[in-house]
Amino acid sequence: MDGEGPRGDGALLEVADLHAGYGQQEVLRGVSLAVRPAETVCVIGPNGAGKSTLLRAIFGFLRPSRGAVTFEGASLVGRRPPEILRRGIAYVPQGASVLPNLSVEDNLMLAAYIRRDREVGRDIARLLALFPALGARRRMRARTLSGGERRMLEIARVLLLRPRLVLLDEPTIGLAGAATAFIYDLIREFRGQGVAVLLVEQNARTALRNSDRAYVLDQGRVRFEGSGEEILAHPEVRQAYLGGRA
Amino acid sequence: MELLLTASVDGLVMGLVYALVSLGLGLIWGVMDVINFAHAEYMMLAMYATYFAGRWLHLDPLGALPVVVALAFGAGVATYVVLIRRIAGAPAVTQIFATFGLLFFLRYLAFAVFGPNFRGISWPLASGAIVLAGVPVSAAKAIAGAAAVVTFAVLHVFLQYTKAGKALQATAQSPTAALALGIEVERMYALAWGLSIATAAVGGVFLLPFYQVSPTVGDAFLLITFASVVLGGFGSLWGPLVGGVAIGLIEGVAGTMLAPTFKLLFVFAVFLLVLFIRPVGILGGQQT
Amino acid sequence: MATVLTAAVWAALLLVPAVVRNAYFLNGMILVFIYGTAAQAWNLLGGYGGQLSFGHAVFFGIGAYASTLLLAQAGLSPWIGMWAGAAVAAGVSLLIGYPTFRLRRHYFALATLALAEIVRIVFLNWPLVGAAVGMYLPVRLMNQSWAMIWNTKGPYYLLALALFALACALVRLTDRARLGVYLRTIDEDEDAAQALGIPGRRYKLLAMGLSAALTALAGTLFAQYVLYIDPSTVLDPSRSVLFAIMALLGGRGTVVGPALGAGFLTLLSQYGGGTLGGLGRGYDYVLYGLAIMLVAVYEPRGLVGLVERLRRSRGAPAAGLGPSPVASPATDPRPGGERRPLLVVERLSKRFGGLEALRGVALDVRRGEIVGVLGPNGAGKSTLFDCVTGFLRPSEGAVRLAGEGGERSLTGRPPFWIAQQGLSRTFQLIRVFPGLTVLENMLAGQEHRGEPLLQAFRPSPPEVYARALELLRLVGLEAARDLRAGALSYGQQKLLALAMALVRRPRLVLLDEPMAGVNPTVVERLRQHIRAQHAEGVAFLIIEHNIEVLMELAERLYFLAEGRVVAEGPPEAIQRNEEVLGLYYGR
Repeated sequence: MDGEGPRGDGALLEVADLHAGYGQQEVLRGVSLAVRPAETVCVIGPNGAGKSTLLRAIFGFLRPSRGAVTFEGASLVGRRPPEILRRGIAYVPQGASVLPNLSVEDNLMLAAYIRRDREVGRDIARLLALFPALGARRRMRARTLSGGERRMLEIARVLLLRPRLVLLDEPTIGLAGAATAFIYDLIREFRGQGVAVLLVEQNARTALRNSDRAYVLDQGRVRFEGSGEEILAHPEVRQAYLGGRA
Repeated sequence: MELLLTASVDGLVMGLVYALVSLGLGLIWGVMDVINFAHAEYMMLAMYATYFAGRWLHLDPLGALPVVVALAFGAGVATYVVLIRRIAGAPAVTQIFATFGLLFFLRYLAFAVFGPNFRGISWPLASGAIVLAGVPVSAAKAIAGAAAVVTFAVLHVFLQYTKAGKALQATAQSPTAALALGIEVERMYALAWGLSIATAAVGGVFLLPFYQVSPTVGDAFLLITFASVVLGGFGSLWGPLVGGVAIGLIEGVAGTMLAPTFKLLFVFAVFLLVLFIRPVGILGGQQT
Repeated sequence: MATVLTAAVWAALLLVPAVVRNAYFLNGMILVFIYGTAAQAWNLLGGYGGQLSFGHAVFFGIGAYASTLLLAQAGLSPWIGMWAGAAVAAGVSLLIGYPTFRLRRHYFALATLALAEIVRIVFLNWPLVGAAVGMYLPVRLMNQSWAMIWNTKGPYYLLALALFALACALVRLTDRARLGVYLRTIDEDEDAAQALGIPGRRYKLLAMGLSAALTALAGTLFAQYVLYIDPSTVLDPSRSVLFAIMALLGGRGTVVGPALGAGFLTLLSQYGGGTLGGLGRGYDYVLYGLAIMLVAVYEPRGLVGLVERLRRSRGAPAAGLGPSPVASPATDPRPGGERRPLLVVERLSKRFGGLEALRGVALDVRRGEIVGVLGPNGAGKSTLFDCVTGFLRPSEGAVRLAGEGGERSLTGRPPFWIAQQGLSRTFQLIRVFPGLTVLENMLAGQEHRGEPLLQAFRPSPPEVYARALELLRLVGLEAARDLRAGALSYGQQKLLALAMALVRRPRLVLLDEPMAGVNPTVVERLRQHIRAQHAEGVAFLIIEHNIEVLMELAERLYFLAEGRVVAEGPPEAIQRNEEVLGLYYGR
């Protein structure tokens, strides 16, 4: 697939020849990708391909051994997560990252931790109205929320931060039907608000249907890239997952 | 029966003081999973600070309180930055002997600087006795118990109602999630250490009027505070409270039934028993 | 060279009393030997076994009081009485060790502290042993060797030297024998040691008992030398601290460390005492405390560690991957037909609070089969492994392994026992023992079933060495055998972990993501080794994400999702299974 992926001008986030791993373990072996403003890009691929590692390396949880990560022209390599957050990138890690023993409202309040303006309270109220399920439980501990509601909370938190790019690590993992649809509604809402999304998914088909562009990661390298539809239709992509002839 | 009531009330009040000194130990354990064996030594140092504030600055414990607590907070932060931060990821064995090294260092520094003698103060405000539940309790002890209650309340309010407090809770529950929210986890740890030592210092300040200080005071309190946290459970504010009060009650009651010399022995024996039977404590290891 | 030096040192020490008459110096040396014995004893448990005791004075005191009591009350010679003391100390130590060894090490440290305080308070109030006043040894028996009381320093010196030599010999024996390897693996990573079949608690108890007994002997000698004991001299917490510090500063887990520490500290307090010890042991302990913190932060292995670091920095060879002479078997050994079942997992469920990680999983592996497990993240694959190998207790269901005497239930048994039944495993995050050499790592993996306790004092048998070296040669790590495993690259560690799992000739090996995070060369080697072992009849259960490898190796696959087995069958069938595709690739 020839990449129409943007290199250079207009790219919000650019990753070039990224190598990263844990200790001496090499997981990413030269990944390059780009995300344009207000674009939704997904990264799919089998387990162990390095998808989560990619997001973590971008957000500063690990330091790449080689390669570059630039956001709005500035390098992110070597910066720590709170700094990267302040530059306008939000990250929702895989699995639950709500704080279980704090209330829904407190979770939201903490999400706005780095905001010092006075509008935080108003924004929180607005969000709680936007998500009635959360609003109804505002004072209850986040522990009592269902899986889907927690994910809702995590993504709602992100909205408070007014980021320009959101990194989502498997947002629909462990969710079923309606909840998954809702999450993708939210993702579309991001695009509507001009926020770019880079999401990593195992549930590839739905992600592809909802993305502008996609990259297929395998064994730490990009194997294919193209628009969402192109990748969806590509016969070899399925092979990357399960091997053999489809 | 009368004796039992007296012992219980007395034990309860003392237990509150134990709870206060254990609070900091439990806090660090819950937030960072580090067990600070030198915790009680800071209490001892706070007692000396109170003593000298009285001698040199003519401050009574209430007057000395802000000074000592501020110094203690600073000491806690310094301890984190200089030592703990460097061993946070190390294996258990290294952490154990690092904090034990800190214990020796502080204790024998006290020996060298202050000498081995016991010292006490008299506090006119706290002389005499107060009557609680029909039982006379020394005023100094009662004030210490009240200080404990107040400190727990203050910390509860801090953790539940302030931004920094909630950020601290978040850090304890998940450092990764906290980082992703922009919380500076290192600063939170330093804060936790400051609070830990500061609360121990409050205990020390109010302990001095009825409990003399010497460099060895930390000995008994090390085991008592550890027992309180193990018994009551770490990871929440209430664990050390429950544990401390329980230990205080046990000690008080046992002291009436057994000879006073064996009171401490009984406490240690209970500690061992708790270790063997239920190391996770009454309230378990739930996060704050 | 080292042996000549050591022999010379011992010879010199032996000759000292003949040459030196300075009583102060001899006194210092006697204390060095007595404390050194206790430090070595502490080292056995805390250095090798990794269980730090901060109440070791209790054993010192038990030894001192026991022999003294027997001498004073029953006229029993301390030459015999000291063994009684040692026995009591050992017994008491096991009482403390048994319940606390399964807990985190902090608990053990504090339990020893509590025990020491309890005993000290008891002795302070016990008339039989003189309470706070203590006991005087019967000086009227002066110069009667049967009573171990002399009025010159010479005999004490020689006796103390002999005891210290015994202590050093014991530690050296431990260090060279199997016990040293076992204890150090338990210290570094007890779970991984258990996975190799090493019964952790048993060896820790052995170390504990020996440590206590040896410390008690030192206590007896101390009593005989000083001729007066009371709780503040033999049961004091500062004593406990002293023994620990000597071993820690000198280097725990080494033979020479505690000796260095004892020598250094005792002589420092003897001769530096004038300047430092002015306020009664004040300043020197302040420095010790500081030194311990520095050691903890910069060089946990003390003086010995420092020396080794200097030596190592002079260019240690980095190990590459050696030649790997494994040839893939020409034919694909997938015998058809029925094979007898080896591992059977039935209705396995595991709940963590409200989370159901496994739901009624049924799985089996037949003899000599390679079975694969795949599935999305969070499917419960590692949980399954943990339940099978004993690291987690299933909430429901059963795990059975076929053996000579029929089937054995593995459900709920401890990991080391399960490993001893012929099961091996590796971990998703590799667990080798970084502080041990590559060869020692392999020796840890030898057969432990039915191994008598005292065999641990002998070195590993030649067959084990041969097997270990053979396996190392196969994986291309033979040249690296004396390197610390922590210095190996990730890929090398993966190969080592596999080799370690094979030493015992297991019947079934569970591999958790063996191909993760390594480059294609290593992937290929691992694949070849698995094939080669398979050809010898070893069965494998492999969790893997590398689809190509799994499809090629496995004869049967299980697809796990959300804690359930969704599909099972040969690779081709799984590849075509729509439900699997949906779960894995998305709808």
